[in-house]
Amino acid sequence: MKRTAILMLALLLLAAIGCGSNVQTDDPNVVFVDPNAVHGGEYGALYFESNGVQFGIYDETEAVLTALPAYRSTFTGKSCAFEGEDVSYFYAGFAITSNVIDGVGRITGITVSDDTVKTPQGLYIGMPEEDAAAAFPALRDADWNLVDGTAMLTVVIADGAVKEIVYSPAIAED
Amino acid sequence: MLFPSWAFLLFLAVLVPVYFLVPKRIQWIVLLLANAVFVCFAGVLGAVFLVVTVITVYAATRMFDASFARQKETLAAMKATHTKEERKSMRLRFEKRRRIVLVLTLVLNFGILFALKYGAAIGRISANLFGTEAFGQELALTMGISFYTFSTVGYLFDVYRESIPAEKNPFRLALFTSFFPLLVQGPITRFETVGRELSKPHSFDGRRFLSASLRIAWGYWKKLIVADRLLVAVRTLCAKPDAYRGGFILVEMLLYAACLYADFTGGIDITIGVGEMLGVTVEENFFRPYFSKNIAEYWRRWHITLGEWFKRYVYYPLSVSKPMRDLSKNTRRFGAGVSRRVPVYLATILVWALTGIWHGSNLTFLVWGLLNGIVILLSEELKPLYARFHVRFPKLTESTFYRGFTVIRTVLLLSSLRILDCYDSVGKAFSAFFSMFTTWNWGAVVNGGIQSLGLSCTDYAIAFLGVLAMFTLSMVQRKGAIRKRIMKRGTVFSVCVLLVLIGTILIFGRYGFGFDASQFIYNRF
Amino acid sequence: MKRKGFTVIGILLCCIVFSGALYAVSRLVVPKYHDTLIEGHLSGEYYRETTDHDVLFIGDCEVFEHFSPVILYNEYGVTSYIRGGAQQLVWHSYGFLEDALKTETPKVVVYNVLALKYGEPQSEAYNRLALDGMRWGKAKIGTIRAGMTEDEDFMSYVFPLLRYHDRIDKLTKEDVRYWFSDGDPVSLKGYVMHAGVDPATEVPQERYDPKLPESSMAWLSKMADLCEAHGIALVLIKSPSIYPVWHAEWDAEIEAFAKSRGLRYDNMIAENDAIGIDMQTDTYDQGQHLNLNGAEKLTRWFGAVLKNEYGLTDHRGEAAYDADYAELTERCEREKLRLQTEGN
Repeated sequence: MKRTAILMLALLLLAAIGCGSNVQTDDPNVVFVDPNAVHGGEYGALYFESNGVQFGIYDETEAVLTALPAYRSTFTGKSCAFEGEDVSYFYAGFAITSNVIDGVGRITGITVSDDTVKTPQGLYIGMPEEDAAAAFPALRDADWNLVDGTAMLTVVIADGAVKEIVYSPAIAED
Repeated sequence: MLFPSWAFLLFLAVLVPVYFLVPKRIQWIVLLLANAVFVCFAGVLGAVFLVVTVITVYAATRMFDASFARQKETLAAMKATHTKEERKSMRLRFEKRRRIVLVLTLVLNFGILFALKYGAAIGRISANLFGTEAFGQELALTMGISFYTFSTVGYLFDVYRESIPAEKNPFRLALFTSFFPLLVQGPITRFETVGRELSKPHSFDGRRFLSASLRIAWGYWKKLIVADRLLVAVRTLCAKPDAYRGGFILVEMLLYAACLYADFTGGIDITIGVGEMLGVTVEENFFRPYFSKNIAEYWRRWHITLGEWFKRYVYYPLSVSKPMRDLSKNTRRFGAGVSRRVPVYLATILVWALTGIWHGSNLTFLVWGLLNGIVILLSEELKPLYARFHVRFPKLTESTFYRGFTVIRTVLLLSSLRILDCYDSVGKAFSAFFSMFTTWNWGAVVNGGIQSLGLSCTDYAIAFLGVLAMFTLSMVQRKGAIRKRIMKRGTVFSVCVLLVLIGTILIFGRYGFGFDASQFIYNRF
Repeated sequence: MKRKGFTVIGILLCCIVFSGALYAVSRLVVPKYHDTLIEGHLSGEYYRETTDHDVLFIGDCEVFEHFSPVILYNEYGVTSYIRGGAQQLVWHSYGFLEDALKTETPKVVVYNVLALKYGEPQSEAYNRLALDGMRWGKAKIGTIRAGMTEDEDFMSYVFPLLRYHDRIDKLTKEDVRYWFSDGDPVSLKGYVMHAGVDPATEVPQERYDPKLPESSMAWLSKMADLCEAHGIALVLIKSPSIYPVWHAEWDAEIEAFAKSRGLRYDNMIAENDAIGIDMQTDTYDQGQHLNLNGAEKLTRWFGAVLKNEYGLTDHRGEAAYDADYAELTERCEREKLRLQTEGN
C-alpha cells in the first residue's frame, strides 16, 4: 500500500512538472503546424475578384489585404462589452468583413456596395433580374441564395433589379 | 434522457421516494410506468419497437410453455398405446412447431434491430456495389435496442430450452425489457435474475441507498471528469486522420483506452447504482479489465454480459450443433487436432464476427471483431510455446515485471485494435496505425501537438489525476470491495466521501453551458 | 439512540461544511466584472442606491454610455439612474423595470428602442452580464425564463457554480480580490464614461428586416402597460448613433406605436444638430457610442426636455440628494481625471 502511495506521489509530481514546463521547443527547426487551421476557404465558384486578386469566405484576411491595394477606410463594429468584433474594410465598390476565428482573422463577408463593380459571377448592382437569372441561372433556382462549400452567395432583388450582392458563410446544416 | 442531465436526476429524485412510498404490491407497476416515461422521453417510435419485442417474445414464450405442457401430456398419453418411434415423431412435431415460432420471433426482433442499425449501411453498400439508388434511411437508433433485444432474446432462448418457465404476466416481461437504467448502455441481463427481482417488493434501506449513491456518484465522476474531458481530444484526433498521424496515434490509442474505460464503466456504475437504489441487483459488467494478461482474459473481464450472452446463446449451441459435429467428424482424416479445432475455430470466428457487427454497421467493426477472434485463436495456438517459455524461465515469468509487461502488452494490443473504432474506414484505421512506425513526429506531438487537441494543460492534469484515481482504486479493490470498506467506516464517513465526490464533480466535471452533454459511447452500439 | 444522534449531527456538519465550501468556490469562480467586463457589474450596482429617482433610464449601451445622471442633477436637479447593460434586450429591460418598481416609483421611465430589433435571445454571455447581478425575485425568474438561449438552463442561474465551474483554471487576481466583496461601483449611477475620440467614417451595409420582431414589440407593449399601471410616463428614445443603423421603417413603426399608446418618442438622431452632436468629436468608436463630450451634450438637451415636459421637481437643496450627488460628482471628476491621465 505504501509503495503504491509513493508511486502515485511520484507520478503526480511528474504530471505537475510536465504541466509547468515550457512547451515551446528549443529547436528552431521543429515547428508544429496546427492541423485544425483552415488554410483558405472552400468556396468553389463563389469567389470574389478585385485587382486580379481572387478571394472568398474564410480566406485569411491579412493575406487578402496584403494582395489588394490599400483600403479606403475601415470600421470596427463594437459588440458591447466584448472585444473581438467585426472589422470592415472599405474599397471602391465593395467591402470586406473580417472576424477572428480561432485566433486568425478570416473573411466572413464580402458586400458589393455600388454599381461600379461586376462580380466574377457576372452580377452587378442594378442588373435587371432577368439578366441576373440568365447570367447565373442556379441562383434563381436556389431562391437567390447559392451555397458552394462553406460560402453562400445572396442576391437581393428589388423592383426587378439586383439591389444587394453579399457573400457570407454558408449556414451549417445540423 | 441522458444520465448526465437534470431531467434524469429529477426523474430519479421523483421515482425513488414514490417507489418506496407506494404499497409494495404496486411497486413494480410504478417502476413500469417510470420505464414508460423514460422510453417515451427518448421517442415514441422507440417505444413502439420495444412494445413489439415484448408482445412477440411474450407470445412465443407462452406458446413454448403451452407446447411443453401439451407435449408432456400427449407423450404420456401415448406411452401405453404408441411405439417409441411414434412418440419420437410426435416429440419432433412439437419441437418443429416451437422452432418455427422461435425463428419467426428471432427474425422479427433481430429484423427490427438490423433494419434500424444496418438498413442505411446496406443501402449504401448496395449503391456502391451495384450502382443502385441508396435505400434505407438513417434512422435514429432506438434507445438501448441492442441491449434490450439481446436481454429479451436471451429470455426467449431460456424458455425455448425449457431452462426457465415463461412469465405469465406480459407487463412483468415489459418491466424487464424496459428497465430504464439498462436502456442506456446495458448491461445485458437475464430474466431469471434481474427480471424476477424487478417484480419483487422492495423496502427502503438507508445504508443501501447511501452505498448506491456512492456508486452512482463514482460513475458520474468517471464520466464527467475523465471520459468527457478525454473525449474532446480523442474526437479531435479521430476527425483528422490525415493531420494526426505517427506519434499522435499512440496518444490517441492511450487516451481512447482511458476515455472508453471511464465512459463505459462510469455508465455501468450509474446503472448498477440506480438498480441498487431500487433494491434490484444488476449484473456486474467489468472486473478490472485493464489488468488482464491477454486478450481472451480481457474479454472475460470487459463487457462481461455481452461475452456471456454470445457464449451461452451462440458459441456453445453452435459448437455442439449437428453440422459442427458432422464437420468435426469429416475432418478427422486430417488428424485429431484439426478435427478438434475446426468447430471451435469456426464458432469463435463467427461469434467475433457477430460481436463486431453488434457494435455497428460499419465494416470497421466487423474487421475489429474478426481481428479480436484471430488474436485469441493465435494465443490459443501459441499456448504450448508460452508454456515452454514459462518452464524455461520460471523466475522471469513469475516476476512482477513480467506480469506488468503482459498487462501493458494487452492494453496496447487491444488499444491498437480499437483504432478501428475511431475511423470510418478500415483503410484509414490501418493507415493511421502503421503511421506510428513510419512517421516520426514526436517533436511535434510534444511541442504543442497535444495542446492543440482542445484540452488545456489543466485538463490534462485533471484527466491524469482522474486516471490515477481509477487505477489506484482498481489496485485497492484487489483486497476487497471499496464501497463495503467505506461503508464499514460508518455513515458519516460514507457521507463525507459522497460529498467529496459530488463536490469534485461539480467543480471539475465537464458539464453545463459550453459543453455538449454527451451520451455514453456504448449507447450507440 | 445516542449513536444515531451523533450520526445525524455528523451528517449535518458534513453537509454544512460541504455547502460552505461549495459556496466559497462558487463565489470564487463567478466573474467579478469589476476590473474587466464591467458591464456585468452594472445590474447589481443599482441595489446600492440609498435615494430614489425621478427618472429611470432603461436600455442598452446607448443609455448607459449616453446619459449622465450627474449632469441631470447638477444642472436640472433631476434625480435619475440608468438600468442599462450591454446588449440589454427588451425582456431584460422589462425585468429591470419590474424589479425597480418593487422599491421605487419613478415619474418618468426612458427606454431606448434600439434593442427592439432583437426578437430572440442572442447570446448567453450577455444574458449573464445582465442577470448575474440582478436581485432574486419574480422579476429575475421571469427575465431568465424569457431570455435563456437554447443551451442554457435555469439551474445554472440558481447555482452559478454549475455555469462557471470551468473558470477554476482561469482565475485571475480580480477573482481573489473581489471574492467576498463587490468592490467600489464601476459606474456613476449606471453611467459608464468613455473619453476617447474616434471619428465616424463609413459604416458597413447590413441586411435587415424592415419590420421589428413581434415578440419584442409585445414586450414593449407590456412595458407600456406596466408604466401605465404605476402612473409612470414612458418615454421612448432612439439615442444618437450612426451604427447600428436605425432604419426608417423601424422608426416609423415605433412612431406609430408611441402614437397608439399616447407615448412620447424622440428619435434623437434627427435632433443631432439641435443637440450639437458631432460624430467627428463626440464618439469614441466611429459613431457607435458617444464619448463623455457627446453624453454631456445629449444629457443637457434631454434634461431640458424632461424638466419642461414632465415638470420634474428640482431636488437641489435637499440634504439627502445633495450629499448623494456631491459624492457622485466627486467620483465623476475623479473618473474624468483618470481617463484623461490613462487615456480611454
